[in-house]
Amino acid sequence: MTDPILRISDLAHAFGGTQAVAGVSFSVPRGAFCGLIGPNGAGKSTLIECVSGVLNSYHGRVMFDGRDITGWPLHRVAGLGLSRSFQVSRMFGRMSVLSNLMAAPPAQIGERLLPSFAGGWRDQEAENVTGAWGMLRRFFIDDVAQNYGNDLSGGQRRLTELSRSLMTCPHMLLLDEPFAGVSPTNRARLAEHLRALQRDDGMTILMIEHRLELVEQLCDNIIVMAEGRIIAEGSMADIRKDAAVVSAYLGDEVVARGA
Amino acid sequence: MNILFYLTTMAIYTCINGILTLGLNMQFGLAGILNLAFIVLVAVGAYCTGIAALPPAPAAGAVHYIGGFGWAFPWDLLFGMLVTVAFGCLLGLICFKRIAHWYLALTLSSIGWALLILVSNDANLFNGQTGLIGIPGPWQDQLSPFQYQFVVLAMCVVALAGVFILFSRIEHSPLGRGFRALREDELAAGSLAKNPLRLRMIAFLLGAGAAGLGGGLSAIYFGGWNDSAWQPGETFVILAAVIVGGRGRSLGALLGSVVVMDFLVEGSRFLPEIGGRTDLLPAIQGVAVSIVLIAVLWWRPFGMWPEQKERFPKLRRRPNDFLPAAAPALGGTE
Amino acid sequence: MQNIAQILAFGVVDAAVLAVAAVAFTLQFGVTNYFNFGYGEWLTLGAFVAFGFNNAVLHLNVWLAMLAAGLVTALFSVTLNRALFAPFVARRPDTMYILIMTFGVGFLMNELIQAIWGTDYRQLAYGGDDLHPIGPLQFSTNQLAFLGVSLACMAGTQLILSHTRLGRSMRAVSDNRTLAVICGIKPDRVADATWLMTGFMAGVAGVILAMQIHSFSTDIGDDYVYLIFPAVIIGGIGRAYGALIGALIIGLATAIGVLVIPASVSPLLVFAALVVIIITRPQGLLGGATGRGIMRQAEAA
Repeated sequence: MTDPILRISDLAHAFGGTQAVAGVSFSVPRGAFCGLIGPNGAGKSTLIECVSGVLNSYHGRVMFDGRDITGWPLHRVAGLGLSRSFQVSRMFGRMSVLSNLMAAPPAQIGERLLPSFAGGWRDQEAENVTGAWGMLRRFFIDDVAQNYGNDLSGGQRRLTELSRSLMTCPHMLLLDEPFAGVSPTNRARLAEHLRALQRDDGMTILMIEHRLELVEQLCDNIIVMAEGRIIAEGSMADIRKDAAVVSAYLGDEVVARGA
Repeated sequence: MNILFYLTTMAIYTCINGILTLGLNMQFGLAGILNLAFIVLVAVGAYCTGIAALPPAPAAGAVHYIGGFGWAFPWDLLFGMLVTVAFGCLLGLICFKRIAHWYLALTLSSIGWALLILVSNDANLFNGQTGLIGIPGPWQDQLSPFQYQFVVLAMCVVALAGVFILFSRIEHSPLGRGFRALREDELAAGSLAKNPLRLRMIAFLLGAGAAGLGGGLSAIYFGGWNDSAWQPGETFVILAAVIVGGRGRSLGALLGSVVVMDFLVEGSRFLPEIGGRTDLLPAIQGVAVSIVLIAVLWWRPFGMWPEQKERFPKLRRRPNDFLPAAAPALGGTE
Repeated sequence: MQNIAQILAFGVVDAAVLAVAAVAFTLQFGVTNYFNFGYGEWLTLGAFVAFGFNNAVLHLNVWLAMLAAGLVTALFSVTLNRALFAPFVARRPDTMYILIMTFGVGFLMNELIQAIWGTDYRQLAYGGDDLHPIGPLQFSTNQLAFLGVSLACMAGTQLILSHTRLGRSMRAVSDNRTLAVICGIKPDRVADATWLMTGFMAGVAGVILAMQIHSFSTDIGDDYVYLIFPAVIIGGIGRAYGALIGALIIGLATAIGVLVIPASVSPLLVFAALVVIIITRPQGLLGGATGRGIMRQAEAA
């Protein structure tokens, strides 16, 4: 693979006595939409926590966009353009949706101490506000722009979190179960948004999901984890045929569809 | 004459309390750092202003303290503020780690209080329980006590105005927004490339600066420093002011300080005596403040003048959007 | 040499008194998941209630007064939890608020105690200053009694935690609240029982502290808190054994420290120990890798 945007080598992490991730290696090519699936407890979320920098004490190496980000803390990783969402969307509850988005843009002049009281940040702020409204309209949540983060439905929270992440101008998105808690009507919309991100903006996406039909619909490449290891990798068709995957995870579902 | 003296004294208290409340509001209200040892920062500011202003300690005799530079205003005050900020920096470097915010409250308070006990116990370096006396104020020996009142009042009003304007501007800037994001959800803030340690430290040091300023002004006004004035419980009243007023909002904090310190604390002075016990007054003040705080926490935890949603500048051009052109143009923001 | 042993022995007595207070504090945190920032006042309450029984009205023997104080504090704690803390946590789950609430309640208690008993220094009436040689060491009857009370509390706690259903429930709720609920444990009842138990211990701790320092005022609890919190932090928050170890460390360190530095500067040792632990291992000696959620990890959905 020429120049993958994300390369993980031999990642391992243990919680107390449990080896949550036991030597995982894979790469994600630029502009790809990768799915990460596996039964509960397979280590998918732990993997994301390590890669994104929430957990630091892991073994192995993570390379992002040509830089070695092994052991980097969350904010540094995010600053490099690797943005993540959380399994349960994390809102700034007592701030409006618009404020949530406005917290995100990088390199805000007004975040430095001197300009914060001396001024000189208002022009950039105006630009960012324009961008934020654009983002809200793009995801059809502009009508809740002035709602507090706490007062949103599950689907609205997901979209707010997603648009907030996009305001940081990321190169890659790590999504942890983005469809959980989203109503069936909104699933199609969210799927379309994600596909558009990949197609029109060239965004690379690595997504953990349990809904296999969405994974099949959206992802170019699928990685299957079980018990902390990768047990299969490839397209959905390949994976369906893989005996290890079938026994570990897909089981009856696949048999029923007559793989 | 007497009433004017009382009023100017009250005004000075109000200004100093306002500064302290703004400081704790910056730390706790805005950035979510529950610093229950805030009073330690104030005490440090007061103490260092004192030792900067006093002449060197006599070599022999019962009075010992370090420092004694004999500086005039404003250098003694600036020294006090500087040391307070440096001390705050030290506290922050020790305590600000990736730990839960409620545990931070415990560690920060423990270290702060331990230090306070240390200083008040030690007679050699810090003149322990006796404290400092005779701290000179600006032009104090050249003015009558009454004129001096007005000089100090002017100082305090200017200081309060300065702190209020500075903190207000920060509160409504992207930096303030960063503080609030940190307060609301540190992990989410980190995922937006905000460095939690940096934000926390800046907010903490700004608050420490205000604490040092307030402390220094009290040292100059009272002319003394005594550890009995800087008990851990003092933080409580300031915290009550922040919460009752409106945490996160500078104006709210200021109003809160007036309500709690002026009305409740001072006002209870005018309540009739109960059973002829004169020592009941501090207890009544304390009870009043606690009850009000508990009530506010129960019913209106965001305070009487809560934080408002951010106001954003009017859009100067239409945002790029994916809706057809027939969509209504976006005007203002509210 | 004998001097050092004697000093260490006194350190152990100090640690014993501290342990009662520290273990109660940490147990209550373990079950309810929030600290009592007004904890000092629980000790103050115990001391003054004992004073009320011991001196003013009933002239009760100090040890009976101690039991009475423990019972009063216990009842007070569980009532307070039922009336204020538990409903408040249900209403405002954010930990910050309950911390401030406990701080406020503590402050209120202090003011009320001051209002009732005044700010003068008090003394409990008791004898027991006669010395008993034990091997090369000498203890006063009172010191032996303090050790006895402390050991009784520790043993009682251990017994309850490991051999009773309540104790198992307490440990279950402390370890994993959700799982405990699933297993049919009612955390609210466990919390009530915990407040009862830790309230009793806190009251008793206040009394033996008052006896140890002879002359006390309404500051007694507040002043002692600066030793309790470090003991709990050093040992590991939420773990009873942690509090015990932390108390031993603090007690022995301050005792030994007197050999090296003047007594007035002994808070420096506490300060130093605290700084070292917070920098190197913030969750405390017995805190696990995550120290009961103290260390920031990704939180479960």
